[in-house]
Amino acid sequence: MAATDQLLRDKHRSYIVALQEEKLDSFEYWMTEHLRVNGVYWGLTALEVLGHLNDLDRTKTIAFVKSCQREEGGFGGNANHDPHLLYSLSALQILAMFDALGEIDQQKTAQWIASLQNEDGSFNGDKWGEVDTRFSYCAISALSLLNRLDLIDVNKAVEFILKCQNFDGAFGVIPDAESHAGQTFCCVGALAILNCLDLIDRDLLGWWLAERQLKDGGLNGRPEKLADVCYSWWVLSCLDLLGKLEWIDSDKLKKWILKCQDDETGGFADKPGNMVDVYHTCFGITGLSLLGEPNLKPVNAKYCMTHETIDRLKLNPPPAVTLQKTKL
Amino acid sequence: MLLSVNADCYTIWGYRREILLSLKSQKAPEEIKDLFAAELKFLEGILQHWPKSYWVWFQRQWVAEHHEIDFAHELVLCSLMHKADSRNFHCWNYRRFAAAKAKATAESELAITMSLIENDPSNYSAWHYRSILLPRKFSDAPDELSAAISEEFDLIKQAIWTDPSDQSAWLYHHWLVGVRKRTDKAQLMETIEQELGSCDELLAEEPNSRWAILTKALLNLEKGDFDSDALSSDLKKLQELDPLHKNYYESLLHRVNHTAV
Repeated sequence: MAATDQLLRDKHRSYIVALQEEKLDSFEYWMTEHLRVNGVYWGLTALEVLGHLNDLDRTKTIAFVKSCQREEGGFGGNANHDPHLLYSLSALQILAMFDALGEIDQQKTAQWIASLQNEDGSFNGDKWGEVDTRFSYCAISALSLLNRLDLIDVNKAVEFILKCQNFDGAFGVIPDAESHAGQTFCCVGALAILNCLDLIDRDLLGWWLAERQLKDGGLNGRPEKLADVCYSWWVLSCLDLLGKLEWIDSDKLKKWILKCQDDETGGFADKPGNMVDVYHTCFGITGLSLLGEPNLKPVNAKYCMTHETIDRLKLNPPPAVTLQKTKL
Repeated sequence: MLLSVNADCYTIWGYRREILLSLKSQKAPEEIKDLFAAELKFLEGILQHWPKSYWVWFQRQWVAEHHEIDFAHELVLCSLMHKADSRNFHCWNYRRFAAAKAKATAESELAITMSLIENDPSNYSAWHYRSILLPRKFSDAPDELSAAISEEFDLIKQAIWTDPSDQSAWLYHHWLVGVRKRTDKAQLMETIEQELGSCDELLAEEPNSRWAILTKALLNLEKGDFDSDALSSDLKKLQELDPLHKNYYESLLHRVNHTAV
């Protein structure tokens, strides 16, 4: 794999399209079977940002997503998998991109999602009770797309998220958990959707996020860790939402992301020279879009979907959050 | 069997939980005890190959919530896993869960963080845990908290001198100043002067330590009464030493120019 300084648009398109093929004798295929819906969301998002949404078969994809819906209303990672928030959000995002949200029972889905909120404002991932700020984001983002944020207690949801903020301004999995850029995106994204980013210390968090940029230009997820292309999304989107994108060196980051491409197979790997996958491909491309790479559709950082799709949905403003800002 | 190959196949974990619950309602107490012990043993094996799987750690927590288990043993398991990877946050989260169940004291948990820091001062996870434990331990004792924070300043100074380029120590240091400001304002100015002195000490040895220069700048901004020219000059030096973050330093320069003295 040779280093490259251009975005290999056509290579990435063919890489993603080829993933649709059912490779029933591939180990990798079966290892990721349980999260296929996520895979389709990552692939479709990358294609949409590249301007080629319809490279994936709309009818087949919608049918696949619908086959993942369980009777409770939530979606599993694949047909015959149990419903879970992680996959329900991806399912809704795919349908939104294809303008097909009307093809499912939205009320049922929204009610299932809302039923997962706990008294303290947190969300379970599914009926088994695991709590994680990822699930707060999935619920809030999903209900926002369905215009049903009225079904949850937004004040409590925000209260719980704020309890997950740490000494460094960033956020963890649950209260007391160490800061991590992925979880930070979930919290910042959720707060942004609910229009209450003013409740956090934006300068402190912006600084912690800016410090994720390493000398080679790449971004890591927390101190003393290596750079990974997916943080080009998790970190960058937060900086964008906080209005502090310029606190990192965009040019250096862009060059580093481009080095993560594979010029033979297409797709992006987590680091230059490693094996590609659709997850890193999605976040490499959405990251580049945030950095202003030409000929990529602009991405809405709150949703990790194009502005075009989000604007088309004409979402209602969220219910008002009435919490006051408190000192950490 | 399938889970040993793919521990992230979450639906199978759900299936296992259904089976365990069903058996729990049918079997005798001794058999239930064996079942859950076997599940814990199984999970220990899985964790060796999948130490960072959300699903696996949750299964262990679920077992712990549905059956009486030895939480002291769980804490030992966490310590062992942290020997292999002291930054495994799944393990830290589980440790906090087990510590609460075991009614472990803040002292004993602080001691755990100390032993990790003594081994490697750059352990962000350990410093983070201290930032949780200290305010909680002294939540009703402001004087004791203040004394503890003074000790932390000494501790962090050692970490900083061990490796001045390690951001963990400096970010924790920044937090300590914030705690002092929020909980013992009377001592704040004294602390700021003390820490400015510490930074100067380090800069005498390492004049290009960007963290020391940045910390000095932040302390001065907090102090409010500073030499604008000197501070601006420091921030411009930072822009040369660390061009990646030049716009962040620019935002601090903006604050210097707009702070009424």
